[in-house]
Amino acid sequence: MEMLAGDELDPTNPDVVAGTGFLARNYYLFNRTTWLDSTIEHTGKAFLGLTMNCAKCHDHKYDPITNIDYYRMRAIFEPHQVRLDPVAGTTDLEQDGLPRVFDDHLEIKTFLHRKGDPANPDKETVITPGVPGLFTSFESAIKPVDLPAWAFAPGTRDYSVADRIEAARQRVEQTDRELKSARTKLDELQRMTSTEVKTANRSDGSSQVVVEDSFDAPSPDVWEVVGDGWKFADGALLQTVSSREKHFVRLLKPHPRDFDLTCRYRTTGGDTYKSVTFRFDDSVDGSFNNFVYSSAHAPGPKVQVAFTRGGQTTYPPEGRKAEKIELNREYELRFAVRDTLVNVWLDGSFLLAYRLPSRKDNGLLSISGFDATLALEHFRLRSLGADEVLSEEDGKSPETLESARHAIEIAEAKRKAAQAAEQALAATVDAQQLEFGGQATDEQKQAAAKNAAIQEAIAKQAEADVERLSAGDDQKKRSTAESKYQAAAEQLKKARDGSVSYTPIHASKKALETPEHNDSTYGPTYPRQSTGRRLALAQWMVARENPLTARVAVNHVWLRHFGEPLVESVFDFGLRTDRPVHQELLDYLATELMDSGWSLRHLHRLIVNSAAYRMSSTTRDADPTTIANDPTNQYLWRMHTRRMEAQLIRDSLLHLAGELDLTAGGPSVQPGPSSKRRSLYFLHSRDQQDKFLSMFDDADLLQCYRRSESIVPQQALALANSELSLTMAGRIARRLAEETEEKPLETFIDRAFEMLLARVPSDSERDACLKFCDQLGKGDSSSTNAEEAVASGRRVRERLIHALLNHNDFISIR
Amino acid sequence: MSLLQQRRHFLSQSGLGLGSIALSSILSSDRPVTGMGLSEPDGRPHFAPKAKSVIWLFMRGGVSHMESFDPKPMLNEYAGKSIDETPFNNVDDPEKLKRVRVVVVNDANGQQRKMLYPLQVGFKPRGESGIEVSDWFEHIGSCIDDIAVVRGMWTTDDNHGAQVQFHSGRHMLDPRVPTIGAWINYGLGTLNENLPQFISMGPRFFDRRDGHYLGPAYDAVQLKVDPSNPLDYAQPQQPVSAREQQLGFELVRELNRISDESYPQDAALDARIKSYELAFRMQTAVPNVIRFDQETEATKKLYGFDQNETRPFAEQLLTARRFAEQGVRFIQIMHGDGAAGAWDQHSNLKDMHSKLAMQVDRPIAGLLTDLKQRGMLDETLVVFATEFGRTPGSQGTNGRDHHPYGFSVWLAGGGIRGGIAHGATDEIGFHAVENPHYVTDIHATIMHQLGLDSHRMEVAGHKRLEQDFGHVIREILV
Repeated sequence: MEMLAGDELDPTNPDVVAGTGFLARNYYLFNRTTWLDSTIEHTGKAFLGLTMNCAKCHDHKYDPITNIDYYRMRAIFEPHQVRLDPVAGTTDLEQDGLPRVFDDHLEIKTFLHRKGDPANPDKETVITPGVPGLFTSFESAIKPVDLPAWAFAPGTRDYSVADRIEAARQRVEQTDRELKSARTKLDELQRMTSTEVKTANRSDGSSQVVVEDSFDAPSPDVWEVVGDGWKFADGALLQTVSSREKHFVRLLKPHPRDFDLTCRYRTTGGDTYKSVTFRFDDSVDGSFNNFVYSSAHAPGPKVQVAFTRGGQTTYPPEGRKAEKIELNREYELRFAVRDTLVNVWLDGSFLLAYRLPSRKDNGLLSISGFDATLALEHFRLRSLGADEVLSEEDGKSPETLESARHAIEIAEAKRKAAQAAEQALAATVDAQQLEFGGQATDEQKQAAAKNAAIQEAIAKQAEADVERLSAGDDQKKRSTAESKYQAAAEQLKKARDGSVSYTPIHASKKALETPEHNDSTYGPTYPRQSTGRRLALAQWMVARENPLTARVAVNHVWLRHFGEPLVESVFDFGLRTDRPVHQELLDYLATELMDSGWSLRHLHRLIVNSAAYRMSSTTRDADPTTIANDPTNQYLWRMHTRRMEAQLIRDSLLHLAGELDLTAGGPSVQPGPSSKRRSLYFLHSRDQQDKFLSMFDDADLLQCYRRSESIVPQQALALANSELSLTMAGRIARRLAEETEEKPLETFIDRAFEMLLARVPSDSERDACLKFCDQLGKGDSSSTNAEEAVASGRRVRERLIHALLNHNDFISIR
Repeated sequence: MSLLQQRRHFLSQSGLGLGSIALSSILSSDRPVTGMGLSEPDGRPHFAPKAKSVIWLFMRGGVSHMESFDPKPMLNEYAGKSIDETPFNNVDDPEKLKRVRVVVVNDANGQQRKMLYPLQVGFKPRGESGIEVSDWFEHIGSCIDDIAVVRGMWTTDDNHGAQVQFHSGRHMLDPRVPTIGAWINYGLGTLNENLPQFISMGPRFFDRRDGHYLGPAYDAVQLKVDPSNPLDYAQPQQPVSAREQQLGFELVRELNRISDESYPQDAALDARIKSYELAFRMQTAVPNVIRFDQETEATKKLYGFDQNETRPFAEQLLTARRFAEQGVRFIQIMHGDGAAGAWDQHSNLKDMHSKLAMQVDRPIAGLLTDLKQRGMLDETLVVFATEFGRTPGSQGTNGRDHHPYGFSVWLAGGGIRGGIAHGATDEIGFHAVENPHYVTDIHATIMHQLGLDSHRMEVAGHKRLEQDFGHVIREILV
């Protein structure tokens, strides 16, 4: 019920509303009919085991579902739309938000499309919402649901308000700091103008060197090496594979906020861009970072400062300097960062200064190639001394007293704007509380609304003022700012005479209905009522009289325990499907599920406690007649062997190594080799798929009723050669070695089998492992000293674990 | 070394000419036997094969047959006229038109286009046979005496589901069934234990599987022409010595073998053991094939390595020859990016078709020439195909729509008779009127040349229809 109508069932409970993500997944920007078609198709297949989609153009060929039934179902979903609701802790919906559905167009009509053609609707008859005609006897009545303000005006939510007030307060503080620093700078300049000190390029002893590395040997305690192609050779760290994938070396510890980085390196080759990238302020998922890179791309070699926000990268022209970067020539790139200001030097000459839009504390620092192979010769990172002054934006002209005074003026305007925004927010909160909260008189409401409208206009004016001041000599910027200022002044006038209203907090984001719309098409609030159509559908789905829903659910649960379903076609329980061999079992479990109040826990318990579930999967001791009569195990005389799902394989590797981050919930995370979160939380879209998972039959993007279980050589390669399995083999071995310290090798082997394969080894298996360790250990017989012997023993154990991870039984469930 | 291993060793050392097929097929009989009903192939051909490998070139999107291998001067003569006003107005025959099963009703594409659109390119008779080929394909034209053009193809999907149909014989609205590559893979033994038998390169259409009910073991292995990274995870991402790899591999094999004693008849385990062994051998074998340092400059130039436009396809085709040389059975190469495929010229036909033809023309001619020079063309069957043709009438001002009623493909080598044009469409290229062939006839012909009887390619529980088996096009065989 939550999946179809969580928003109508319990509108203020985010956990229940989240269920409607099931419907939100069908969102399709370009064609509403395609969008609703998927919605109907998957509602039918997922809950009812009915291929309703076959009745779009004509009556269903096999099942008693009419063409009209299809459009009655469409009418249920016709009013619904998708939006992203705010969650506590952030006001940035790009960072985190709850995708959900809601009814938006309560009056919209549904017509039958003749022969399934949306361009040819039958306007004569309005189709009323309802369930397939065959099953109307227990249909629930449709009752509209009145929604609380929490649901239809998400900007009134306590956390939406609190998060915004906090953000506004922080902005005021930030502008305070900026103003202070602008004033300090003026003081400094006044002091310095007399002594003619060049400010930009001064070295300073008081700063601290954080990392200095000439890459003669790996320093695993300093750098984390991720991805393919990294090699230490000839006193340098080489990236030998040119690729666009995320192969990087990264400092294990976050870098200082203000720092000065110098690196000597060569670009040794590569494909198109031949870039060497120094990324800082990097978030773990890579969605936020700033970076400096050199590109030896022949048509336009350059050095560039750029940044990534919410996964989108911007390459500002002001952060770019065309510079002849050649292959196989050593360069010394230096850049220093103080607050948002970046200065870049190449081979000792000043290249450019650029102001980043923002910074981040405790960011990560990494070096990588993009379409490039490279050699890193020397790297030095130091924190920036307190009195080191960087050159301002316009790198060529050093700061003057005049520009410093102007900077103060701007900073003052910014602070004023921040204060105005804070006040406007407070007024808006008051106004919307009265408007949506109920208890106030109309007069009170109007007064608060008017005040909010005025404050809003004042805040806009203050923002425009900042723009006006910052525009400098740029005529275009100047006139834009000027017209914004005038518009705000006009708005203020109207607010004062009451002809323009305030804007409630816009805390959510509606998914665009069509490509012609944009975000400003939609307001901050939504209809105060929901049609109740989906709730009625959901109630009918779970009605005791409905024979399908529980059976379909039971079949899915059974499939995931046994590897084979009771009904082979898991989304089609129609007439064309063969009667299941174990129909009575299916019905029994379906009844149990319903009678237990739809307790899945009860269902799981019933299944896993059954004798059938606890059977062995081997055919070794089986009666030959059994094997001959039922080779495919239809009658469950043994357990099916199942292969772990892709997610399970990755999570197991990490978990056995003690590395899996078990944090539950939160926004989706970027897939990739550096993430330690459970695979469940990976973004999964056409553009974002984890390569390792995709090797093992990851879920279909559009529907996942049943995974395929392929066996292809690429899976063996992934388990044998991936960064993930190699790293985890090492960590698992280390863990086990600690645990079995001073015990004989046999103990290590036994424990490894228990841990990785969930059983003890047979004698022959143990012998095979011992022989392996013996042989591999001998290969290192040159090592005479004790230390090397220990290292070699560790390596042997690591390789043994790696072999067990490649054992069939590691990914099989028997 | 066991006897079997010795044989394998011998095989991998010996030249992999036709002579080794019989011997190698004995080796492939160690495939898992599931029993029941129809007998599984034992890796032996049903009769003496003519060809050893197939190089399957598929142009995604729909190549205009009229502007490639089936010239129609009448289009120039009646250009700008509606079909109804021409002597060819009988093409509207509803009986013939209803053959098509429409997937998307009232789709903007896949419609009849009445206004005849003139040919966008010139034609010349080529070779001794004098078969006409358009100027966009002049290099392929120079090889025409080795090519059998099949001009009477038809299919039933008016949209790009026809790509799947061309590979599987089944329409988009039918269930997914194995593709031709999977059937070959299933029906024949391997010629090289170190390489996958069925390889795919280039952009794939939406159905990414081939094996379907035959199982994932018969899916194509997707490779890219990147010697440093031909397939994902081909090399350890952390340092591992060759000795460590070798010993580790042997241990896993031994442990899996021990497991096999406890779990006999576990088909998945058997398949995993095989795929694990193949993976291990592929690690070294695949990068050794995908490299061009042993090829002469002349050979590279022949394929078109010297031109930016032709180089990507040239690299794939030279790789294909190298795989064929190593005994890979079915090498499938798709050309044309995008969801529908690059050849889908609803507009700008002249600009785009000429550009795309340029990307493939020299490389394909280079492949045919190279195979012939090396004496490989006799045992390597090259197929050039596309999902459907394009309408004789114009779509918009300068395009052609999808056209499933008549189109062309061609075959060369592997016992195919060169220099013939088999079958025909009517005078405006609308319907296949003479010797029409459904797509599975191409499958049956390929199987026949590889020594397989398509009617014996069936597994229990998956009944195939007569049309699925197809018929051998005997007229184009030597």
